[in-house]
Amino acid sequence: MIRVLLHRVVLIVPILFGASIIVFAIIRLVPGDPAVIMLGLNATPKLILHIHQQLGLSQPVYVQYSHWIGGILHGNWGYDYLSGQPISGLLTTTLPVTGELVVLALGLAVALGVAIGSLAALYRGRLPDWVSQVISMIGISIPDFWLGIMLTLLFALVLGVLPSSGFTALTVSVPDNLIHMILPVVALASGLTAVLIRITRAAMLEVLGQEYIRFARASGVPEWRVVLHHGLRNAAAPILTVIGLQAGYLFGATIVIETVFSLPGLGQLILNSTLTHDYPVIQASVLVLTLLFVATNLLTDAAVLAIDPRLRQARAA
Amino acid sequence: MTQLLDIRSLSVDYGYGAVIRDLSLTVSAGEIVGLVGESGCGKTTLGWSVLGLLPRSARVDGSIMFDGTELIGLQARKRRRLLGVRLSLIPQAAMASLDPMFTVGHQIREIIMTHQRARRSDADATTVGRLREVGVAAPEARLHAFPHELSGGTRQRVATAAAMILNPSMLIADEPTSSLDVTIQAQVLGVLRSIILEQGTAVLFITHDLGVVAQISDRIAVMYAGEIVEEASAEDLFEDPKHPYTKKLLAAHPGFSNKGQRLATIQGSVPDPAQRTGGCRFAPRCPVAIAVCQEERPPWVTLDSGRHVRCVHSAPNH
Repeated sequence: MIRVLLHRVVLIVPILFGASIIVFAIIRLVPGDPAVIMLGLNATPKLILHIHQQLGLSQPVYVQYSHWIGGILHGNWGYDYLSGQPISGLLTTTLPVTGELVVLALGLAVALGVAIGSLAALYRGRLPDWVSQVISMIGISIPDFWLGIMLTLLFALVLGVLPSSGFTALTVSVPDNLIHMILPVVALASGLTAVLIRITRAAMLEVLGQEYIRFARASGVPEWRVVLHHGLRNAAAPILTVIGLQAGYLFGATIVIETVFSLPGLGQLILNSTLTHDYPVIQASVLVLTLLFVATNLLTDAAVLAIDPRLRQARAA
Repeated sequence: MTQLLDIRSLSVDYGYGAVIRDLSLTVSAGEIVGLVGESGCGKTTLGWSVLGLLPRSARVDGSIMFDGTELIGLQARKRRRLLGVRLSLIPQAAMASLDPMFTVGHQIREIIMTHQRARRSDADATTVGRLREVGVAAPEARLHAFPHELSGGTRQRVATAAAMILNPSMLIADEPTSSLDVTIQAQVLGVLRSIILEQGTAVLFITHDLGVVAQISDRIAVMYAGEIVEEASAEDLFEDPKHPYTKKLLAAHPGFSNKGQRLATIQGSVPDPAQRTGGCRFAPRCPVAIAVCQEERPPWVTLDSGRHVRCVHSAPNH
C-alpha cells in the first residue's frame, strides 16, 4: 500500500509541472496588458515599454517561464506587480481563510450528504426517500452564488441574525469567525451535499442488497449495526472517490463564494489578480489550488486503500 | 412428536400474484427436511419468510410457529433474539455471504457478541473450535483472513461455522452448496451432515438438486409454483414417487433415471406468479392432466404410509 501511495506522490510532480505551463500560457493568451492596467490613463508607449522591461515581460516567454519556475523551485513565489509585496506573504494570509471555508463546507456536505443518503436508501420508496430526492434535486439545480445571495438576503437583511459578509480571523475571535463562516459554508456545501446524497443512496442500495447484509440480518445483528458497520463501510469507497473529485469543484467555487461574501481568501486573490493581470499572483495561487486538489485526491485514494482490504493487498503485490 | 417449525397456510405475495399459496410444512426437532423444486417456485421466499427477510412490500398470510413463537408479525427486536441463536441461516451464495471488509474472526465474533456477553478472547476461542469442526485448516490463522483470501469451499465452511456458532436448534440452509464445484460440494455437504447430526440440529434444506437432498434428508417436500405437491420420506419418494411432477423430476435427474436412456425433460417452465390459475398449477405441463385439474385445486391427499400428495390421481374417490 505504501508503495502505491509513493507512486502517486511521485506522479504529483509532472501534474504540477503541467499545470504550471498551462496557467502560465493561458493568462498570457488573455487579451490585456498588465502595464496598461498599472499605468491607466497615463499609458504611453514609452512608459509601457519601460514597465515591460522592469517586469521582464519583454523577454521571450520561455525565458520568463524558466525564470518563474526556477524561483518557485528555490522557494521564491515572486512579487505582486502592483504592490511589490512578496507573494508568499499573500498566500499565508489568504490560504487559511480558504482552507477553513473548504474544510468546513466539506465536513458539512459529507455529514449531511452521507446521513441523508443512507436514510434514503434505508427507506427506499417511502417518505424519507422522496424528501431526500427533492432536497438533492434542489441542491444540484441551485447555483451556489445565487444561494449565497438569497441566504444573505434572508438571514442578514430580513431576519438580521447573521452578518452578510466580512471575516474575522480565527486567531482574533473564534465565535466571531464562525458566525461569519456560516452562510458562505452553507452556500458552498449545498451542491456537494446534493451530489453526496445521490451517490450515498445509490452505493448503499447496492450494498444493502448483498448476500452478506442478508446474512448479518439473519444472524440477529441489529439493523443500525447492519447499516452503519457493514453498509457504510462497503459503500465508503465510491463515496470517497466522489468526494475527492468534487473537492476540485469546491476549490473552484470558492472564487465565487468568497466574492459574494467578501472573504479575503485565495479565491478572491485569484479574481482580483486576474482583473489586474497580475501574472505572478495568478500563477502562484492557481498552482497552490492545483496542489491542494491533487493532495485531496491523494488523501481520498489513500483512504479508499486503507478501507478496502482487497485493494490494500491486491495493489501491494 | 412436537414440531419445532410449523408453517400453516402460508401465502406470500410481492404484489404481482402469490409466490407462495396456502403452504403448510412442519419440521420436528432434529429432523432434516429437504425442500426441492425448480428455480422460481418460491423456495427462497419460503426461507426468507421464516427468517423475516422478506421485503416490506410483501404481503404475508398464515402462520409460522417456531418453538412456540409466532414468527409472522413478530417484533423485530424479539425476532433478532431468536436469529443466530436458535434459528440460523446458511446463506445461498458461498462467495458473497461474508462481508469483504472484515476478517473471518471479526464477523463470527460479531454474531457471538450480539447475543452474549463474551470476552473477545473467549469468542475467538469458540470461533476457532467451530472452524476446526467444519474442517477449516489452520483455523487460528484464518481468524485474521479476509474473505477474498479464502477459497469458495472454505468460505462456505466459514459461513456454516458462523451459522452454527451458537448451537441453533434449527437451520435454514438455502442452496448452501449450489455455487461450489462438485467435489467441494460433496465435502461441504459431508461436513454439514456430520455437524448437524452431532448437534441434533433441525434443518430445512432448500435446494434444486435432488442428488443433494437424497444424501442429506430424512423427509422431502417437493415444491412447485408456490405449493408443496408431495411430501414423503426420502426413501419412499425416490422409490415410489406419486406426483407427476416428482416423477418427471426424477426422470430428468441423471442419478435416478434409467441408465442408457436419454434424460427426460419437463416441457415448459414454472408459471409466473401473475399467470397462475386456481386449478392444479402443474396441469399445463402434466402428462396425465384431466379436465378437473384445470379448474379445481387438487386435494391434499394423505396416503396410508403417512405421505402426502396434492394430485387428483391419488385421491381415494378418483
